Amino acid sequence: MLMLAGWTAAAGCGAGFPAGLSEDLGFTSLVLVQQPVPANAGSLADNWLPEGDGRLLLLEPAALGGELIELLGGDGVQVRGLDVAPAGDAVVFAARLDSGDRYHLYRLDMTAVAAGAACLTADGTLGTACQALTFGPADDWQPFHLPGGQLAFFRQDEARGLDFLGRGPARFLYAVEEDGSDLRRLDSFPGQVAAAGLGDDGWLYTVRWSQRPGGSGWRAYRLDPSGGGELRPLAGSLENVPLNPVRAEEGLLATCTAPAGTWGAGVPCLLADDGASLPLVTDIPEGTGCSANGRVRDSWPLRDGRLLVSSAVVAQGCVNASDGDEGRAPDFSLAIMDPADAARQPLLNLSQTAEVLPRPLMSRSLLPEGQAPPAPPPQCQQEGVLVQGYLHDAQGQPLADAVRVRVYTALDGSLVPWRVELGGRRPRGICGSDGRYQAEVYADGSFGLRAPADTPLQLAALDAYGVVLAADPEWRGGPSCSRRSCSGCHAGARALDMSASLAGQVEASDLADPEGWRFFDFRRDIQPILDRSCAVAGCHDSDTAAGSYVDLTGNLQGLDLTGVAEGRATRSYNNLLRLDVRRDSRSGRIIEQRRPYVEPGSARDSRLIQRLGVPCRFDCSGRPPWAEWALGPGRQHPEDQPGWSGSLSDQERWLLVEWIDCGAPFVAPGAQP
Amino acid sequence: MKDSRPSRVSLLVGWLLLLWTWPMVVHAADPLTRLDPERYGPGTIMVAIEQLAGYTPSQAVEPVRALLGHEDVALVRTAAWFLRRAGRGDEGVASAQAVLQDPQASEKSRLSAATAIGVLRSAAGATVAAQALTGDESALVRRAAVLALGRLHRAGWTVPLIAAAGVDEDERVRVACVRALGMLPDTTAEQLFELLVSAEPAAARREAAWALGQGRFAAVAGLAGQLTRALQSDPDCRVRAAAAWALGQQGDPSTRPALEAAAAGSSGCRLAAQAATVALGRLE
Repeated sequence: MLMLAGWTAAAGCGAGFPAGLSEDLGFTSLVLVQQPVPANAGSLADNWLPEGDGRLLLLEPAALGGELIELLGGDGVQVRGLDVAPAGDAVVFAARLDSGDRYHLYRLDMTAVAAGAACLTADGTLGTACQALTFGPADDWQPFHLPGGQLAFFRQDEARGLDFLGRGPARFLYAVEEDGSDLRRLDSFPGQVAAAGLGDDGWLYTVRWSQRPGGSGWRAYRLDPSGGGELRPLAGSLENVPLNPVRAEEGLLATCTAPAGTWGAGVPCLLADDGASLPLVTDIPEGTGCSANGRVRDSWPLRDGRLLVSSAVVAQGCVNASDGDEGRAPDFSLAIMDPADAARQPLLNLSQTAEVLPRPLMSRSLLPEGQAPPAPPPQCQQEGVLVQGYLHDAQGQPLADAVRVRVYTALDGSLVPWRVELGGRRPRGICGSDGRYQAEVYADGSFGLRAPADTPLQLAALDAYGVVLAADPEWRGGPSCSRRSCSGCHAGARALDMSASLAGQVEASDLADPEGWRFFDFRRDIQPILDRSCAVAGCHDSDTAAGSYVDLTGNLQGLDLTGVAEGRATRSYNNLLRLDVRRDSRSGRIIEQRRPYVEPGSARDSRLIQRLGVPCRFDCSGRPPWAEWALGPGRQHPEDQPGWSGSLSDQERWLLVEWIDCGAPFVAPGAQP
Repeated sequence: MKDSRPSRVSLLVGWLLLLWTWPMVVHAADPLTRLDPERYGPGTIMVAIEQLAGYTPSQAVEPVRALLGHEDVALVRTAAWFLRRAGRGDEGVASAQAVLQDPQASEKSRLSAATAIGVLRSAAGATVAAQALTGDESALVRRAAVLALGRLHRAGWTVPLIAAAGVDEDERVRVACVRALGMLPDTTAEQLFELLVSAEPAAARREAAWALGQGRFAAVAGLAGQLTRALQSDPDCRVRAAAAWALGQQGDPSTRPALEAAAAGSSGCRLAAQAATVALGRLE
């Protein structure tokens, strides 16, 4: 506050303020980022970083006609996100200092600026007013403060693999101490984070792309920022995405916008606990649409209920995908907005080609009085995420047939770029090697395991035959030494006390050792089995291609399982993974589809396994020797009879089951196409 | 009392009106009809492609392929992503190659096509990108081709990249070459050592230092010495900071004295001192 008084005195504050805007609101100056408007209305999922130059500016006093002072700028400089420290005496921003640089976090000491120091010296090196907080070849941006002095931010690194959409490097949430130490990852979702902010309870509210069977989309989550707690999915897929959430008196304030074609501009909205949003301004439409009041790119709550907004207006008031097409880029300006009638009091308009992101230079509390942030976890004895929970089905009933839990991890898109499209065919590899890749499920349905840290994970419940009974629809995971509880693995994760469970009484199974992970390579692991047992003369070789599948167009199809190269895979792989579809002849929409032989991720639903049968694998006492849903001895595939040299062993059958259950991948990391 | 119910005639007219307008409504709602760059701008087409990506209809492949020569690079990235998602990456590469080899194609179109190759991630794209690196007159196109080559993560392309990192007339291309080398799986530490010492401009040496911070080089003999020399003696402050960061990533305790000296300001570079302080924290 002392520093603020200094600024006020220096500026002769008050004289230039219009009625209704004064020190009563708690600030007299504001900092803002100016960056070029992108070439078109864009998409939140497009993760390419902007080109062009940007600046960090100080507007003082914060009123129309106030002096605009450049805090950071120059050739090649670009700024992407900022936050004012809770004490109001510093600004943390993300910037690229030259055109070949990456975006890193910097802390700008405003007291030093007031004393004449600069962030960059004349020769482009770091000045005494600025401290670098992050380094290296990753891009960091959009920082915001956490209770306890840490900073959270987005990080994108080309070496870290693709996002779930396959559009480019994944965005993760990271945190770092205010002095740049103790860099850590807060989540492990390659799910394209679009927004994150601190909620009233000290948890992070995040929005990210989520890949789930039967419905992918933008979803809201709550994440423990201490790095040790839970990830809580909030209900439903979001039609409009709330950007830049910040804590206001009434709850979390954000800007709700359609995921594509709106320049990221929408309507100020309040977020409910379940992730739903309530628009605050009635004259501005949610999603797409036109409005005489234009749209809002960013909103910040002021003490009297009004909003500091970055306001986007085009001539006909729409702010949508066709604006750029018709040469009408939005005119972004700063204003104080009254949500009751959308009336705006202008503060600043730089130019039509400049987008602005403002933050008042003032002190504030990050959490309500008396509210403590989540406590960090106790020191871990072992690395890896501790995952504990109970197995239930989607209706909350115990999974009585489950005897083991297996952990899957996503194949890294940077290692197998030609094959992996995260979210396409559920590409994943099995963690753990033979004999110890699964954790036991106890009589009360509980389990406990340590899984690899900083890795997207899915859990699957196995029956006694080693076949997946049910799989977690969500990717989850966490940083080192974190703890995840799972109630059913269908209902989402929530905190559970596992101390009284049977799994809680014993040491958790360790599946975190990378030396023990297994990744499938179709040509190395599966094709030799097919060559010996299936693609033999008179059966599934190229000449015979035995088979009796009638496809959706009514044609009889044979099955050739020879391993000759075909396209980007082999003929056998392409045939086994074939998707039989019937499309609408005009629009191309799929009317009907099915996979005749292999359903990636589900051996139980794959005809290949149903034809071959699965022998019992775990805790077999009192169980049928063969899975009853598949063929057993005596009813097996005609050529797969005991005594025949090409007959499959139990281990080979289980290998086929594992390969399909883990997504039927073609290549393992590091393999060449 | 007058009957307020609609007459049969007005109902019939209503139905006829609906039948007449329905095809137009359906047509306008179909994103396939919005892929025409003659009628729609890039923003509208991008939204249409995003809608089509949900079910990747085969009818969209040809019109989307034709977009790879568009001058709007954001649109072309989206189109390339669609083709990859549809499993038509090789066809996309063929389209991008046609644009890159078209003497009439504008610089913006070629830049978009070169960028698309990295998004398509198809093996065939590596050769096309390498041809653009050596043959295109535009530095922006060559730079985009180099970065695309890096994003393909393919082995076998270090030699042309190292050559271009030394001889390309544009320094942005030379910097991009070193960056791409850091992404390739078969780049050796020795190749990066050489670039760390000799590459120009300084941003290229910074890329080499960053690349040497990767975990795959942790066991390489001489790594700590090379990075320490860069920390202590590179003339550029940003390169010294990158070397400090890389030393922190590798975690070799023998480098502690050099990092402590840099943190104390021996290099005369605030950025390097701060990077060294953070690196020392990682050695704890």
